[in-house]
Amino acid sequence: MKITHLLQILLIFLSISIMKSKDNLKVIFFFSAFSLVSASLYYFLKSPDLALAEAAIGSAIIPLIYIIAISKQRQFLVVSHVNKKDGFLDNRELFKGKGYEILDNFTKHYNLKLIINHGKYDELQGIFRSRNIDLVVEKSKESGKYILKGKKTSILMNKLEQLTKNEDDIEVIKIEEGEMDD
Amino acid sequence: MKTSDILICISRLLFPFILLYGFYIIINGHLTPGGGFQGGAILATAILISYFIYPEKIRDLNLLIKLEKYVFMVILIIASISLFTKGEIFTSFISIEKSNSFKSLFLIILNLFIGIKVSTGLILIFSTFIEEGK
Repeated sequence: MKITHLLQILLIFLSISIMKSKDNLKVIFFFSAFSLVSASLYYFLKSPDLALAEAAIGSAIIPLIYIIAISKQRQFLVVSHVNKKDGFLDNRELFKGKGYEILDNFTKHYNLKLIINHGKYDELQGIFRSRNIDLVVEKSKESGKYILKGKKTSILMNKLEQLTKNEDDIEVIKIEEGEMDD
Repeated sequence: MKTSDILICISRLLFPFILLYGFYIIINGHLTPGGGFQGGAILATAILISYFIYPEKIRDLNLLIKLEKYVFMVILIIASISLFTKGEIFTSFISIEKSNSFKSLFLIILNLFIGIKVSTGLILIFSTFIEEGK
């Protein structure tokens, strides 16, 4: 039995474990190991050129990008257009705003990290800008209600709607994907 | 993201060697396996490691975008120099009577610029991914 046969069997087991495992971080490590084994297989099958590219990209860059994607998944980004003196989203030691408490409880329940931006939307970096915001907070001028805008496709928005059903001055609006661009 | 001290220490130790290896693969690309793309990917990994060491280092993304575009123009210009020396576009600009080691200069220059372009492109993808939604 040659070493290439062993590596091929290992590759089959690794790909099965990638498909079966539920933990995101484990999947990334298995993927990295898969790339490393396939790189060594490329070397034994006499294509060292491909092995170099596979080792550099498959087992270093792509796992790093995936790990960052996972850490981004745990954030809940809120952009606030409410005036800062209003105190709805305040987070001080003595006084916590009503909206802040609701969002804080909500994100703690789902193990997310709450990040609030006060209207500094243009300073955000990145090319995918318009798609990443989870929630936009506004205050309507006619009724004085606080409006929480989110994407319709997000499951979290349904939960937030149920949570704020009893509050009189909060209204949840769900928007189609792609319309939320301001 | 919190990184441990051991990872930072090992990254500091490995960083120059990975850079050296990337440049070796680029410059020897015409003789040994590897070349512009592979060496550029390794260079990009080296600079991604520096994200763990100094997280605030890469700030000016617009400079990188400009650099990538200029390098692309330089590659096109180098490829079309042969229009003036040989009257034919997209071939080596060095005449065929010269020695082999002198003729390989064309490949080395092209590999170097392709490596720079690939590494800046990968760094750009990665750093927009990190900065996004911060």
